[in-house]
Amino acid sequence: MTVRVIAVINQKGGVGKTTTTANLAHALAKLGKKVVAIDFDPQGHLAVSFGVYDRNQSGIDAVLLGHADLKACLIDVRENLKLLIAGPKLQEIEQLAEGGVHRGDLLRQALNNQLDEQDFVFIDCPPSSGLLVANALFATEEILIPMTGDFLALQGLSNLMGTIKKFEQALKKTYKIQLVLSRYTPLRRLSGDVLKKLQHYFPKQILATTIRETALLAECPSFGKTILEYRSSSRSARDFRKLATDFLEGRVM
Amino acid sequence: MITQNNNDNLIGYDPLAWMEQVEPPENSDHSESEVLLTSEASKSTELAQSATVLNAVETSAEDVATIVLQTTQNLQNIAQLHEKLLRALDHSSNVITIDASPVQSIDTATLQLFVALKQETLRVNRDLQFDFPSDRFLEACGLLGLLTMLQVDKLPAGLF
Repeated sequence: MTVRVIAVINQKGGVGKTTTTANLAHALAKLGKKVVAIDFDPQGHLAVSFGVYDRNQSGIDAVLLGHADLKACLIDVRENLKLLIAGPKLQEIEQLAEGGVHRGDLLRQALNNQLDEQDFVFIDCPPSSGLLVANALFATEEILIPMTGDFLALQGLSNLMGTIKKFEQALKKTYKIQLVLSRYTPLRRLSGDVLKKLQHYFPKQILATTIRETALLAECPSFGKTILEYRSSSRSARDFRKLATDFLEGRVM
Repeated sequence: MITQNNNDNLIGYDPLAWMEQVEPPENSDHSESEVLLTSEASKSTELAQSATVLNAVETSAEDVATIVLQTTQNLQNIAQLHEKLLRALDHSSNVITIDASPVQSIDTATLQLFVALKQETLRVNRDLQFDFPSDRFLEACGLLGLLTMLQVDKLPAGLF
């Protein structure tokens, strides 16, 4: 079995990275896939989305610092779904000033063959462009970019693609890049124009199902539930179930 | 790139337009001192274990001039480096990027050159970034107290 490691990245905040990671990971787990979700954002919102609130517990921070074993830090949060929380020292790693380029390779080394029994590992990245994102880009071959239908999200995507191209050249590899339209408002004309623009630059790279903006998606993290638990028959839950199928079957626009 | 402002399009400026002007990344061999105006700057990293270290000035669609340092930077090749820095300054790019990943040995004269370059870029309101600084490069900058001045005290510096 080959585990697929996917970095969920967008340097812009508020585009739905954590919402996408939590709900897509859970939807895949419900389809029987073995999934690990890594909360790589020091804010720890992914853990909260799954109902894990202990901010003092060690997680990926201790693993990266060599203080803990990765498998020992995994938390079973749902059937088939494990969580690796951020931990209180992850922000310190973002500020690491020593170690040269090896600072960027900590996550790749930590993951090395440790999760081979899994189907998917999702890395929920912070909305920044620092050392943590660099670690994610070193560690992964696949990138999932949540995008909203806003102009500023396009601008952010431009910056992100510049960063990704730098890494591709430096590391001599080509990432598999997929986009997911999140927080999408189909009735707004600008959203449609942004989508057309994305289809032009990313043909066959946008997952077929758009995740529409709903109040329910904003509500469910406060209850520590994914949308599949909070309102399993809602259209948002349907969106994520379809997105999971898209992801598995490679269904794109 | 500004598109026509008409009723059919709500996006004026296209921030992704540069993507169509960029060649796909590939493993390329550049002759020394070659100036490439159309391709993205190529880089080497410690991780990539690139054996051949090139010293080229390149520009990318992101308006960046890139200089890749040699494994050994000292008086033997400082004149050559100086020439490249001048060419980078002459170029219209807003950002001068120096890939410091290959550096295994660097002397104070070269670091002095970087200090002068930093001062010049500040004067002309341009950015100077060091990409993937090697441990030896960081160590040398640290010994001379230049980490903050050259801004190589952050992340895998200059990556973003």
